[in-house]
Amino acid sequence: MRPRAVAGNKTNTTHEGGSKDVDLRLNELQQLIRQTADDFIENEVPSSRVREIEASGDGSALWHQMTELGWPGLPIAEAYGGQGGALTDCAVLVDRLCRGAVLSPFASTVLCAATVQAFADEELKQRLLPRIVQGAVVSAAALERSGAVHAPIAATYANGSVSGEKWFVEFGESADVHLVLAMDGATPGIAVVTRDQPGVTTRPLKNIGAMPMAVATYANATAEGWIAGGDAVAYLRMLGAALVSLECYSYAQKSLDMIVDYAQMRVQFGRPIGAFEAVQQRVADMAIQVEACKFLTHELLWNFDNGTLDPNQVPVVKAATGRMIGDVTMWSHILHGGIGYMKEYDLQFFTRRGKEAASRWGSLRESSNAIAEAVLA
Amino acid sequence: MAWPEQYGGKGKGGFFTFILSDELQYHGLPYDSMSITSVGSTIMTFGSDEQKSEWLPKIQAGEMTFALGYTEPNAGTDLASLQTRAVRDGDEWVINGQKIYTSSAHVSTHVWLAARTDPDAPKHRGISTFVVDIKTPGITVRPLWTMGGSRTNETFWEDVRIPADALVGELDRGWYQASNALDLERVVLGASTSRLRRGIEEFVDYVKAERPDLVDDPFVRTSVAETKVDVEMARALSLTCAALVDTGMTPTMEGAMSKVWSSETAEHMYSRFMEILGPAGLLDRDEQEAPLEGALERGWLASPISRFGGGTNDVQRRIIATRGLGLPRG
Repeated sequence: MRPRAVAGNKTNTTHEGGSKDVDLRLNELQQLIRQTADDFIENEVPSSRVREIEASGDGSALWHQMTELGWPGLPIAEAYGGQGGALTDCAVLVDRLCRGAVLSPFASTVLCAATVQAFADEELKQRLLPRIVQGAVVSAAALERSGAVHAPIAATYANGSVSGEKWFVEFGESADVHLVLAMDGATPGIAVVTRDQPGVTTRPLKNIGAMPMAVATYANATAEGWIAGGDAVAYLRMLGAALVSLECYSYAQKSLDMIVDYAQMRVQFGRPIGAFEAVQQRVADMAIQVEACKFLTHELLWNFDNGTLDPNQVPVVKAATGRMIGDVTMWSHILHGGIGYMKEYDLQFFTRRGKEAASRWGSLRESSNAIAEAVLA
Repeated sequence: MAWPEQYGGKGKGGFFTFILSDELQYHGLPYDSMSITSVGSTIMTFGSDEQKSEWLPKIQAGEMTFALGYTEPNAGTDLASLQTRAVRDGDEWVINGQKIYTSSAHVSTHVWLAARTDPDAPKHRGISTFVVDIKTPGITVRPLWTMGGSRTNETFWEDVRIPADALVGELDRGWYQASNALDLERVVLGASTSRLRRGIEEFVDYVKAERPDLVDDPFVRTSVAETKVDVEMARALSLTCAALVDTGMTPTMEGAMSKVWSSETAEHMYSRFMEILGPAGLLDRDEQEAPLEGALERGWLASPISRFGGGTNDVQRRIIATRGLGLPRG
């Protein structure tokens, strides 16, 4: 399957008019996105606010601010009121938000908006996409209780309504719209369900990374749209894995940056700990993995943008980043020592969020088995 | 139990201590091994007859419990650079300074304190160890909360006056005594293999009961088998230490090996099990749906402590290479 390009080719190519290659350099738009994001996070989302949002579970005011900046419209075509950014453009923002430990439904919005844009009929796009630009939070309800991405879909869609139960729905309690994976007879698809209706109930699921997740129950819930077909479902799952792999990279990069800074500042035995070979070698091992994952995650999204995706590459990237993140954040802790383990210190955000990202949209078990299946076929 | 009979013990030795502490841990019961094995044994070796007869029975009865007062904000891995001062004033010592990660100071009766008694001597030669009642005026205990949800403390020492006989062993020889206690502490830290063994058993029971679909999954089978091998190696290393303690030796290299291996095995075990379960493995301990009541999430978040605590693992590797295998210190 070659998923359709979402928003045309907005990314760089190294050879003009020639064959396209991945380029990690940011183009002008991406540099602007990064600068805007960094300024916003520095001024509006210091770690004290991250802590408040984590404690209260309410990030709606922050999301409102992000909406005013036009961020939800970034992945959406101009025809629907958005800015027509590519996934690699959205990736810049996802990356900066992760590095700021900001809990927001931005990545979830990108995932859902891109899926709707690529697979919904025109009428549904006209109704849904402008709402997302205006700040409606859309969340994918894609998992069964097992949490396995590729488990058979149990929810059903018939006569415009959905029944079933979904687990680990990100921002599921506050999202305005759920994209619910369901079966219409033998055909899988995605039901578009407004959360605020009698047929939908949710309850929270507390987890290690503090991202608000929910169990959602649909009892003959009215669906305002149906995106039929296995291609749309596969695309949603693959893009979910690609975005969360990027998150793993970003958390790891931040965790690495923090220990590199700390190792230059922290003096023991009369010199910075970063001058010790044991520390240097650990940090170098961390950096090797982080660097590889930076390219892998970027390349994957670039291929989404350009319609050149190899579906077999998705579990490879997911496994690479999922395996790397735990190692890197843990080593950052070990090298930091006691200070890094304190709740007041920010490192714990990246450790917890990273571990969570590693298990979302495909555990290492699922990814490894999928790789083996493809490689040994 | 392992202490000689003259100090109220049963003379049972290191193997017995290992089995006792292992069994207690397996059943989730506390064994204050830090006070008994680490501090108690050091007092036994270096303390005066009066100190031994007064303190050891209380330690044994659990009436005297210790928080370790070693680490300071600027003296972590480089412990010998500690700056907390103890100055002799008549029949008393006056302590001033700050300690950090004084874990369990809020629930212990005493602090096993390392303080500088000779600021002019080379840094390893001016440190002494003291037993300090936590209720002594001038000690402030402030909580620090950790990523894993547990509490540790920072303690502030302002003109804390303690009796002259609170000094344990020889003046200015505290570093060498502390090194002995730290070697023993690592034996204790390494001896957590029953917790690991139980971790595997509980996980396997959970998978068989709740996720039978995973039993035949090749990734799951390999992960569980690898974890089993790791845990058996941890058990072997900790029994090696116990055997050496029985022959009256301090297992410096073996303690370091045991501590490195078991602390890293713990992290790998929780991590592997979480990777098997996917999002369910991430659920918080407060979440009723959490597998194993959140033991994976809790175990993984707690795992860094034993990797950097008690002497960070990279320093342990250095101890193995230099003090153990005789490589140059460079």
